[in-house]
Amino acid sequence: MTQTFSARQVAMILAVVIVAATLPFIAPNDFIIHTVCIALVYAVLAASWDLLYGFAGLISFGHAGFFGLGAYSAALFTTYLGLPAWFGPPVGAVAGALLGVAIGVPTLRLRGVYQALSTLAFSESLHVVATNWYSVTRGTLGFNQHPTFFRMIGELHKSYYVMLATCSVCVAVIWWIARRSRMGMTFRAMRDDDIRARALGINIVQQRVLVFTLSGLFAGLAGAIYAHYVGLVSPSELGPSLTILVIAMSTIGGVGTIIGPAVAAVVLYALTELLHLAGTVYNQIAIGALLIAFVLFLPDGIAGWFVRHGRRTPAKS
Amino acid sequence: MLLDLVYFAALGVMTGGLYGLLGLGLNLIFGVMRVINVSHGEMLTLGAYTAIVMGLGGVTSPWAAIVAAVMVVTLIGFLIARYLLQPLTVESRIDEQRGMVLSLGLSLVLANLVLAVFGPEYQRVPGKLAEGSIVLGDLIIEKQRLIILIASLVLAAALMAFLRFTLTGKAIRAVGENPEAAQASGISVRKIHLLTFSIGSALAGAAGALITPATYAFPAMGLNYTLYAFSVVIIGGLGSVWGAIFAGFLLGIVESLSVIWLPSGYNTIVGPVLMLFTLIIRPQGLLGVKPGRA
Amino acid sequence: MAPDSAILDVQGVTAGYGGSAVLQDLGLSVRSGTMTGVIGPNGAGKSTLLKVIVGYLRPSQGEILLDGVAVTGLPPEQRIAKGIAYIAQTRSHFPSQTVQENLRLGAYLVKDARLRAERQNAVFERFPILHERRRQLAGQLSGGEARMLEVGRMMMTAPRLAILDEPSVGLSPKLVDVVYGHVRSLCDQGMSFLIVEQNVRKLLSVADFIYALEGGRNRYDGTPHDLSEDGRLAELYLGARG
Repeated sequence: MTQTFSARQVAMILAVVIVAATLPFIAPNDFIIHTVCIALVYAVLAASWDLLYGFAGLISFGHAGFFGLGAYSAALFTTYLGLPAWFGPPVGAVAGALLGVAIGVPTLRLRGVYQALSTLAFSESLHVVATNWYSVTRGTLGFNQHPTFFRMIGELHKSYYVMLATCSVCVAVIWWIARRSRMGMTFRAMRDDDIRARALGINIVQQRVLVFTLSGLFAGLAGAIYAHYVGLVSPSELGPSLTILVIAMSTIGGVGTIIGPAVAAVVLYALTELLHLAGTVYNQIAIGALLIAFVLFLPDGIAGWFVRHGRRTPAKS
Repeated sequence: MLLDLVYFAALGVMTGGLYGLLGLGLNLIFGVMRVINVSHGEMLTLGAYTAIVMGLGGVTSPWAAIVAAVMVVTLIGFLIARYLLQPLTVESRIDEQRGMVLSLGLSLVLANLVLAVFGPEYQRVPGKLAEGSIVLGDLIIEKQRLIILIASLVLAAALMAFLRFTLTGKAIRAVGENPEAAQASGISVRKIHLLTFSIGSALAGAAGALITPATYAFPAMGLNYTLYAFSVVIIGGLGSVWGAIFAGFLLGIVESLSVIWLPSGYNTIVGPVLMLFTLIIRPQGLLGVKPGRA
Repeated sequence: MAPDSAILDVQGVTAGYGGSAVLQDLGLSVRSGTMTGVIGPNGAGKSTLLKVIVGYLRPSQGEILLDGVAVTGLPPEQRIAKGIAYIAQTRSHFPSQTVQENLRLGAYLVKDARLRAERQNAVFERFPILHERRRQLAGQLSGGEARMLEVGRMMMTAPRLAILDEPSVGLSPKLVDVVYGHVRSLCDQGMSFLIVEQNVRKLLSVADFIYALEGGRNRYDGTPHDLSEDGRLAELYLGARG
């Protein structure tokens, strides 16, 4: 589905690109840059969630599981094998993908609520393990023995651009898979009417496991990047709060657009971290309230609103 | 060893009663309104904190606190149903996915509101439901925990009687089963939804107020209990009242017994794992009905 | 109520789902004390029409008048209170509750216990099988018995206008005759009926007046006699069923 952008939209996109490219120079302090780096990771996570839900119709109530598993795997792997940080992300991606298979296969028959809760059960189990397996993960203290990409101080600009590039590429790949590839079309066919899809020769089993694997891969990758950027992995990376955040970001951004959730993740996370400076918990309340408002008034999210109002091409029908 | 088993089993029965109560409320809401209420645990939190506020205000009787908690949570539940869920209702059915996502937002807002107002510290109420313990041979059971169990059972029985024997209860079941036919009988689905959500929330609020004399309250407690409630509902079967009660006890006992065999802290994995097994092997749960709604 | 007055008036109704109109400026009326039928090919808007009349769907334009009083803005339960009854096409009862409970629910709006008992007796008189099975779960009834339960449920409010959506669906020809026999008898006792049917032949044989819908509009109307004489109806039907 191609879209012609109006002049106004092009201007906005250009503005975003310029800001992104020059952020380290125009930002008032380092904290903002650091926040955006983390937000970029969440963008990848949100995009991977949207791939699963917006395109394949599978709700993940346990996306933090992929993220956290990727983070812990990367951290533990690089630590115990004494490898440099760059080995982490592939490990995280593989771990996430494997979890995707592990979830996708047993839950093939499940739909709707049951399918959603199955993902929750998986990630909660991982959560409990991470919290209690003190000898390996150091429990709630968090694991920080692993190497990081950069030293935090002095290399912030370099790290920002690397993160920007990596995460943008990830989001772009996810977008391409969802919107442009045959895989994406197949996922959508499966979501809309799996009986008809099967009649068309689509192997539902295969496709379902595939989309879980892909989504898990990117979420795990995001987790690994996070682990090696921040330098600390804790069980809350596997917790329901993170999943709720991801769902909130995707809903506000606009489910089914990939870009919407990704952008919303960056904006929301950056905004709320700034609010965090102002007053501790109000950022979460703000996100929750925003989510409620969007569900009630703008269920298609911001991107959905754009799709419906921004188009300046002559109407098709 | 046998004594250990019996002790932990007994403990499990008592927590199980509570889980069952939570599962009942969630089940009711889901069975009738088809809404997955992720903020259900937050109703429990609000009930607990109402009891705490009463305690701070000088009210020493835990029973008064429980009554107050139920009233407060029922009101909040009503407001949520009226102003947040009703707009999502189209032709007597609530949009399942939007309802679910909305409840996610609610749980964020409510839990953090409590955090903002009361702070993250663990809080206790001054009073106890009952002093002392019952001694049965080598077994020592706190009277208070026994009372919580009995209260849970009484509430559950009251709910079941209400659903089974009163006209309004039958109307609630009717709306859950076939909203269009219910409307054709002159039942206002709108009002039934409001009532159902209020009752479900009230049960959670009661549970919250019941446990505060025995344990402490903290803002994030809701999410834990929501997870338990989901496990109970899935294991027992969505839509089955008996299933929720039975599953509550089952979960409570197994989780309690698992303390004997699992390293410490891992007992909380029992809920998710049992839920997973149920979903994979028998998704409709022990006593659930296959979703065959009109 | 003069026998010639309209118990139901549908005026200029336009309605549909998600922006597209299924019904276009539709009008019809049911004369009180008559059995009025609605036929038409699939997609003509018959079910949508019933939904609008009963109140499940809001029309974007038009009015629904019950005995001259506008009910257009009211939700279904309030229209039921004003004397409409509705039996849906599929499963318009509660399988998990007993026959007796189903009837009790049908009388949800009837506050007078004596009146309820009277009406329940009337239902059991008319359908002895329901009396026999009164403590059984409605889900255990056969198709025909379930239909009778639904008619019984409807009778509990003693409606002035009963709206039936394809009452013959899933029933054997003999049962269809039985059901329509009861409908006719209730009609003779004063209950007006609006019936949507796919079984055109049956409807033509019992109804007092017929509307034929096509494409969301009222194409033809008249008595069964007029319509079967008129070749166009046959054409409409044979053409559509193809």
